[in-house]
Amino acid sequence: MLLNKLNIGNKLALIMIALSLVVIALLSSVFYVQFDTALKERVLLQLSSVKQLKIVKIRSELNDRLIAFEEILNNPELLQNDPSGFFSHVALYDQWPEKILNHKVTLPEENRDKIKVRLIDLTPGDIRKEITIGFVGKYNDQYLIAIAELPEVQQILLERTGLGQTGESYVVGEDFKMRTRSRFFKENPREIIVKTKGVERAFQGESGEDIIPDYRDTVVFSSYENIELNGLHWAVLSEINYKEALFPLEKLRTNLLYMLMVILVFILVVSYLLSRMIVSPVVSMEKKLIAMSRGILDTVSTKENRQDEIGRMFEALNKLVKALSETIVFAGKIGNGNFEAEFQPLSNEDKLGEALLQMKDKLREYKENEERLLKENQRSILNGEEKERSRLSKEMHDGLGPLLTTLRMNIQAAELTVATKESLLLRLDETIGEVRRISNNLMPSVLVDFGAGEAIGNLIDQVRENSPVNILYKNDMSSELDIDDSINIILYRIAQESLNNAIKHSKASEIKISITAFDEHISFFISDNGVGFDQKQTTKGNGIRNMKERVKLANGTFDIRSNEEGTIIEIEIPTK
Amino acid sequence: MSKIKIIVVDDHQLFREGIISLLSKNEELDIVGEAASVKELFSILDIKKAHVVLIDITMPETNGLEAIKECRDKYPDVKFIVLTMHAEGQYVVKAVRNGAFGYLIKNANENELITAIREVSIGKKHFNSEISQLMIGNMAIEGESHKKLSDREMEVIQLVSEGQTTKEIADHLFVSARTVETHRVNMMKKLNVQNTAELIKKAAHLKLI
Repeated sequence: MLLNKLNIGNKLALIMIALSLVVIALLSSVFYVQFDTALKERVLLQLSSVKQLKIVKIRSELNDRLIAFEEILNNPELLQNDPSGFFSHVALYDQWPEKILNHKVTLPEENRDKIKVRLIDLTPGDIRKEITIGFVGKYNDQYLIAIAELPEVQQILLERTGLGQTGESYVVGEDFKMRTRSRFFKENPREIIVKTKGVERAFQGESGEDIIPDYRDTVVFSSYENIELNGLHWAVLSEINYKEALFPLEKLRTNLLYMLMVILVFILVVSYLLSRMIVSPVVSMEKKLIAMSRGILDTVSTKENRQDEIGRMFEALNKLVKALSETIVFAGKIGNGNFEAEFQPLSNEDKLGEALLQMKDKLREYKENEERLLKENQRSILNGEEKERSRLSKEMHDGLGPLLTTLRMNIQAAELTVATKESLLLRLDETIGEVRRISNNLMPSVLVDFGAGEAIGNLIDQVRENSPVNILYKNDMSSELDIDDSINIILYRIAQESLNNAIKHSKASEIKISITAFDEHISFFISDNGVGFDQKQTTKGNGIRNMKERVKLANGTFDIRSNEEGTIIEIEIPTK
Repeated sequence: MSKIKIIVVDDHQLFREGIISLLSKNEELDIVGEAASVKELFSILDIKKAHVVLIDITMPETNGLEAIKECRDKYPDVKFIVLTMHAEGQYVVKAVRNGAFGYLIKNANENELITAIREVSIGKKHFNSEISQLMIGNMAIEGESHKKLSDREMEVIQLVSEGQTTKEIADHLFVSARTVETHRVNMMKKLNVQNTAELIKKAAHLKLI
């Protein structure tokens, strides 16, 4: 669907525009229709009042003449001297004249006596094209007939105040011919036939207003009424062109259209801005989510503190980002081998967190296993090495030694000169001493038989012989103590290594060593007043690393401090 | 004058033969038996009388020093001379403690060996100057204490009572500070007290300081 393809902003704008258009169109059309109705009513009302005015005026003119005629009728002496001056011709006729002056005076025979005074429209026969009315009265047996021209009527109708460009009022006779001049046709009005609905209705006695086509077939607002006066039948019409009358409506429509366009533009702009305002956080969230899907995790900064759904969405998103970041940090820590890292799963359903925690435990297990295996390996290598040394040492001491001593006895017993014997014995004693020394170096028998305390003591005694350094030694190991050979060996090797380091490198004048046995551990301490060394440098590091390794394998603690005032090493090894 | 009856105990047959051939030249001496192990020695002693036993230390199963200790009760008249390759004081001291009358290194001269046997057989002890040195050097370190506190603990409590700090004591005794602390805790346990002040009080009461 097309609507789904549009982005939210456009959708919102579209909806806003559509809604406002509907509302405006509805309002405008209601307004238009009401205006239209009101306008038409007003036009018709105006036409009606204009028509009424014309009728009143025409009637007044006719009445004036009627009254003057009746006066003459009542006072025939006035016949010769018409006081009113209305009539162009007044005369008494014994018989009904067919023609007076140029006018044919037509009146049906039966009507001639019935009325007192009768008006006859003589205009159709008037050659001067003036409105001419014949007045007929019975005076005894004679007919009093007067003829009056009424250019005033034309004058009345020509007054077009309030009728605009196309408005006119006119009189139509019983013969459906126009009596007064048309505004539009310059020809003789008597030749214009006006057989419109208005005229017809007027002659039927109806008066009213309507929108109908006029004699020109132009649609007009028309107000029509009949004038009936003593046998005279006229229809008076006031009309105005439909188009002109409704010109304000058209203007209104144009204005409305302009307004509509302006409003449309306004709505377009406003809805665009509004939708952008509403949608922009959604767009930024979209970007955020896309970034997140690429693995970029930054918290979203919302400018305002929103409390609505979008605000809460941002809040949730930020929470998610934070939680993910924590998870990542945690995963990173695990990756770096920090298995002490703490992590709280986000919820009971936090599968990732659970998986990471499991991973941590597994990795820790693997690492511990590996470390244990490594330790065991190293231990067995070291043990093997020590065992081999021990075996070799014993072989020399207990195997080679007795052989040499036996040889010595043999030499002593042999028949040799004293000088030869002594020389041989001297060589042999040297050899025996060397064998003992080598055996001792490999693994002193005292270490196995009397423990590290004694063996270290012997070692120090040997060192003292060859070194001017003052060595102080405190042995606090009771010889009855039953300590594992491997621990004794570790302690002895550490003592060898550290003493060797102190003698060779520290330039110390005094070395203090102590070994103390406690119920559950043995403490070894060595300090010298030498120059110390940089622990970061690894030139001598090998010896220290060896010591550390041995202590680690025995699950002990190794602590070394070194500065220009000397070096201190403290070691504790558990015995249980 | 009766001959000195001798048994030679050594797990090396060659050495035994050498010694025996060396000693048998001497008329005073009578080699009554030879053994390759302590077990064999005991079985000989059960049936034969001997004055002096020459015994090696390192032997399979039981070592020579243990044998001397055992024989002190079993055969109180038999006198032992340790004849060994071990030239360390610890062995000498242990041999003396266990009741040996003499201690010789295997490369000793014929004369010295015979002198030793002769002296020991009449109840004298024989340790030449070299062996004596070894012995004395180690005796100083040894020395059993029957006191309630060990020597080191005595030193520590002495220094504590003098008002020295843990660090000063550690420095003085060239042990680690932790070791001093452990000593202190151990002493408090032994004397059944809760703190250092009580410890000193109790030590003074027991006339330890």
